[in-house]
Amino acid sequence: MELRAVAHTVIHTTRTEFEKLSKKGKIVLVTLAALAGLGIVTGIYRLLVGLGSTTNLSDAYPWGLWLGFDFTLIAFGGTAFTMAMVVHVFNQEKYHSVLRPALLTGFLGYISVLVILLIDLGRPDRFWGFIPYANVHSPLFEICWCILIYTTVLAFEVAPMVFERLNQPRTLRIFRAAIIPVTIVGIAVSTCHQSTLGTIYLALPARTHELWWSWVMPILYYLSAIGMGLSAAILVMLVGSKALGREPDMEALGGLGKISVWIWVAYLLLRIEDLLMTGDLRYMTTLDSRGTRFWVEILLMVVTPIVLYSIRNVRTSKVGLLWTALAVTLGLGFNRFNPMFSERPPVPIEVSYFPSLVEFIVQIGVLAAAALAWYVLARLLPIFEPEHQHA
Amino acid sequence: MSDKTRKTASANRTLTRREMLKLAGASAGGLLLQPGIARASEEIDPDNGASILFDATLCVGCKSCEEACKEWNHLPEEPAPVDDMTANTWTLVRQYESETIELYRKYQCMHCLHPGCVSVCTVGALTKTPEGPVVYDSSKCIGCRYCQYACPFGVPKFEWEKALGLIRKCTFCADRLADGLEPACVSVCPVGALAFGTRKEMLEEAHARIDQNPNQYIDHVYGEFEAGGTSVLYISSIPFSALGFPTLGNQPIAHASETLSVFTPLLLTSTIAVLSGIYWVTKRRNAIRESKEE
Ligand code: SF4
Ligand code: SF4
Repeated sequence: MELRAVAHTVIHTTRTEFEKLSKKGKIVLVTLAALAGLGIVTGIYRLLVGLGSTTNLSDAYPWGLWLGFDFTLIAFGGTAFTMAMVVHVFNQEKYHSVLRPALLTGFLGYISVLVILLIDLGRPDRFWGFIPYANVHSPLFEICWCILIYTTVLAFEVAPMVFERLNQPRTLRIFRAAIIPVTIVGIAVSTCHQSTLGTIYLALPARTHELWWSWVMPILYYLSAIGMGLSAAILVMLVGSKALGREPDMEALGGLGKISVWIWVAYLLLRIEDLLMTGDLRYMTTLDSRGTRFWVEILLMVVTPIVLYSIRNVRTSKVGLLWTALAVTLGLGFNRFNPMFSERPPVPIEVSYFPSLVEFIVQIGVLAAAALAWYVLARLLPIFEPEHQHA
Repeated sequence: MSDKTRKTASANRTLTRREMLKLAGASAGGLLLQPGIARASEEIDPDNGASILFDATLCVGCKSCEEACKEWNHLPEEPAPVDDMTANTWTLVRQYESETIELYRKYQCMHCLHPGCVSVCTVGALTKTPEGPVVYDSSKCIGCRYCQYACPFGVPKFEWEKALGLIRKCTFCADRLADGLEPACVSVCPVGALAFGTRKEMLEEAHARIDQNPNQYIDHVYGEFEAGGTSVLYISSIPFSALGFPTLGNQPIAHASETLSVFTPLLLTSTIAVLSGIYWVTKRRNAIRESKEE
């Protein structure tokens, strides 16, 4: 049977590929697998016993590590729509080598988001609830639909790699024919949900400090998703190439860094203008925990890429690009977590939140599983090979 | 304190023309600039909806209302005394002390006229009924807990201890109201600290009490305008912030997100249009360049 043959090829390839690895490579892979396994078991345990005994979430802090990571991962996974936009819509062929790794990253990123979302839900058995029951005013309703549609789009964008590998030119042709319209719908849907992630907080004026709360939050979220998407592509290409023993296209990566300078400049101008207009500037000088977190976010996510990506020597150096992209990722993490914890909860008792061990283990497990899956798929699929004929 | 007031003032800013332009400019080709933003939550006639008036100067802290609530709604006793509402304690009387006096405040759902919880609920499990109560359909809820975040009064509580948890909160005894009864808590208050009627009546009553005894009350009916108005109203002899009430502006809590959510279909379609345009242009440009090179 064909399926059997495929399974056989997969297992066989995996085994031979694993044998070929260096000792260090093997250790990394085994560690990732162990973390993923631990995460899955812990995740199942959480589903069986509920949120109360496994997490430190509470009525005062109903959202925590998991949701914060989801928001971060959605922006990181935004690398797929960003690169699709650069390559397919703006037809910048020079970045073609980055597209497939970015699409794979986005696909696995969104799957991770869905898994975490499921584990975070109070009623995971009803995760489909937003399909029959609608509330068009809810930002989360819109996001659920967009993520559902976009993950399907991503599967569609990743599928050609599989069929190319399986040598099925006829099926491949069908996908190729539809790739542009599907990609455009995917970017449009991304535009909606990436910005709507900011709208989430617009509904929470009492819980979001105005260092973050602003009418332009959706635009800031969209811009930062693109900025993050560019740096995520750099990061994934550098780490992925290293893991797979390839040479990344430094010309392309440097170019992405250059584009992202403009994105972050636009972001910074909008943010400064907004803070100036509303007079929230004075909170910045208060270096309490909130003020500090604000500055970490701004310095790492915005200032670092503007300065470093502007320097030629950084753009041509792997180390330079790697550290800059890492700084952006960390800064974006702060940016996505910060508003969630920026105001006192409206309860008459003192409550604080720090993630529990279970929350950490599950989160790390999902990330490890995604990294592992990325590596394995990158080995199995022709993601670094140029497409024969561009669509 | 000034911080807090400022904060809510800015949180309740309306979308100015300048900001509209800013939004429009950032979206595709200014297509977002559409006249007439639709008001999201349907207008409900607040005057005739049910309403409770709590008079903090009368409450003696006997907690009869807590018991009546537990009894009517079949809520189990808490294992240990609680200081905040929980999934099994939908109303709670707490003591507050000022320099001179001790006062009590009764916590429960405020049954807002434009509830944040209703606006954000992913699946529309929460609804504001024309009769007044904000009710919850547990069969729809997916447990995302966005409502908990959106409520400025910290009302919706989650069943953390259950494997499949749901939201629980005060129902305004919607079932009793439907039978023409008062809410359970109101029906048992021995000192008349709780009054029940239409919102119009309760507002009139509140202002009448303040006018008759200006020395005994501060001139503020909490809930008349806060967050767009609530169905549960409060009067007190000390400022409401001293009773743990949040300082809120007069805009509905989810005003901003509701205003923007209207634009989603437009954003979606205009992005598709603009991207298709860019694709066409860049494709042609590349084709022309290639043909020149040949
Ligand atoms: S007080 Fe909170 S839970 Fe009650 S209606 Fe208002 S927003 Fe909803
Ligand atoms: S927890 Fe339930 S009621 Fe609350 S917002 Fe989510 S789906 Fe709606």
